[in-house]
Amino acid sequence: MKIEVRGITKRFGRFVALDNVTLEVASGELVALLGPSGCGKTTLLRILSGLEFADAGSILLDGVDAAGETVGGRRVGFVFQHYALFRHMTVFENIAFGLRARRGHRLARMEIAGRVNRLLGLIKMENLADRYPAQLSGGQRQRVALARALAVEPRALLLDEPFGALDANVRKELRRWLRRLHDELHVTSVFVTHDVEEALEVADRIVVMRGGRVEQVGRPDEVYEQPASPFVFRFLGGAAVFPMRGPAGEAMEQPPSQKAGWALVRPHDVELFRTGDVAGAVEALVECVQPIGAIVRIVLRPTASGEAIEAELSRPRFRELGPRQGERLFARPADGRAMTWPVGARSGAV
Amino acid sequence: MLEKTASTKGTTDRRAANRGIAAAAVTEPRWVQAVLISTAMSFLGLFLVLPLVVVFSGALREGVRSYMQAITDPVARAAIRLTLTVAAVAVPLNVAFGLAAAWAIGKFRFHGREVLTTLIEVPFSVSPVVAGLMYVLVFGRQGWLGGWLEAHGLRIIFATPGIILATIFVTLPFVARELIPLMREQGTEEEEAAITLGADGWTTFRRVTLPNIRWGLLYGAVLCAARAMGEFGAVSVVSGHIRGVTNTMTLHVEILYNEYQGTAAFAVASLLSLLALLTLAAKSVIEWRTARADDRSAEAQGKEEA
Repeated sequence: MKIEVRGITKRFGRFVALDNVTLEVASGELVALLGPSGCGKTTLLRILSGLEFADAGSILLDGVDAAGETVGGRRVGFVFQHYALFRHMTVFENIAFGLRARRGHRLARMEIAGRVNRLLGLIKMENLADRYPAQLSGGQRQRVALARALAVEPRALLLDEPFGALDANVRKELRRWLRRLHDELHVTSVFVTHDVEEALEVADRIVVMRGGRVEQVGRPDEVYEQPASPFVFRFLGGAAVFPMRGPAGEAMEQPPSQKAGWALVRPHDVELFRTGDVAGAVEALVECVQPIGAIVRIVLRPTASGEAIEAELSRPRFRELGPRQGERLFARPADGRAMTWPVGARSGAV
Repeated sequence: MLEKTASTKGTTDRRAANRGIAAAAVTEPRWVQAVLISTAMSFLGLFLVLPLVVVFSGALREGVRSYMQAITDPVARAAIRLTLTVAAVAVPLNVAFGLAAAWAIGKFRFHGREVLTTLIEVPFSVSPVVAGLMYVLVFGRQGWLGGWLEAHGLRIIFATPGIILATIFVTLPFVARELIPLMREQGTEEEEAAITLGADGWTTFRRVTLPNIRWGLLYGAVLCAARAMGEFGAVSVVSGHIRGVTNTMTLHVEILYNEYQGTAAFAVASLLSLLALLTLAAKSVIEWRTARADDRSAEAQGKEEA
């Protein structure tokens, strides 16, 4: 199902949760709504489902305005962060609920059992059909919630931080499973997350939101490599900030119209040198060295004031350079890897 | 990092100290334990068990025959019938009201929600006698609506409707108070999930909301019934004490007692006590069921964390 969001605005009292949001989700696409908490992503999802109403704007589902349709009438599945399983029903009954509750086209008992069992197979929980939600792990509960939403063959699936309440390992496993599931079923899906890695790994397209507005829409690679604003740059993968003044700025891709500004660069695109004869390098003292698995994070403090610079070195490069705390080094963005903005645009704090 | 370790250590030390205190408390000398326990037990016996025993023994003092006579007396039977009628009307109405109020307060945010919550508790803080008097002032012959009611041939005060109204007022908070915290805690997600799955309002209520609150609802209803049958003050004011017509069991007991018909008074009182004990048993069963359900989910939670 194709979803069109047109100029949606939503206020809660004086707080503007969504400010004229326009968006399109193509049929069969898996889209992530990504942003910090309070950016309005969950509100947008709830408006799509019909659980919440917009103050202005419209939602078109397959080209039809959804304003007149009830929540049930939209036939859109919703998966909640805290599962919202019916606690007094078994796994089987939970999944069957939508098939039994729908008015008009009630299914025969055998048909329901058949469909529920197929879904139990899909989530690999055939042997747990008689369990109650309280007897399941978090990951199992969320899989049941997903099966329950899929049981009524929804036109689209909306997932509100579906992995937010799970621990790191289960989270990773489950999101990959979700991606495979989507590749199998091709049901149009929108999921909300504040986890950048999750969005980058799972989504076809990412909608980056901030303060009730859409900051950027694009494929994961696009939003990562060509962020539209300092905010997007920082939110996706962090950034080291270099001041662009005098000769140092010349080595960067500085827009000709700008004399002073800031260059943002990914921590893994920061190059460190022992000698200062490299063009565009900034002198800095090593504040701390933190080995984190495959990489080593180094925090540097520029001697000529400015924000601390975070650099990430690969293990081989780290061994080669051997930086120690308190040492003087020179840092610069790798060639062509920095993005620059004028001073006024430095609202990228996350 | 260092600080954190220190604070963890501090907690451990404190815990050890607490254990020390607890251990000291347990090792009170034997005779102190004996004195404390026997004081508590004799207090309970004197003020709770003994009166109950006296009621039943008083009722049966003159044999089963006069006991049966006392409770099958036409006036007594009318009182029993009235009490059961009042409870049969008041309890379902208060279950419906309590459910509606708890639903609104527990699941929605709106202006005046806190006021409504407080309002529901008013019957607990107002003396039942005052409650009865209020109804007399509104519906009585000299009351606000008295003239209109009389013109239309409706009788509320000194009649069954008045007794029912007074009972409803006094027992109003029981169901709502039981359900509000429960429904607030359970939130609205399950209902939302049901709606997105295509269920309509009634199906959602019947198949999702109601099963989740059934034990709390039953518990509230049991308490409500016990109070409805045992109510004296409010009912006494509005009933008019017409024998065989507007006397409930509690009022009947009082009249018998005042007329020095001790055995008959005890006999009817024993029936009331029996009803109270039955509700107590029902309440215990419900509590036991709820605790078991909680245990089950707690156990599963623990399993997951491990």
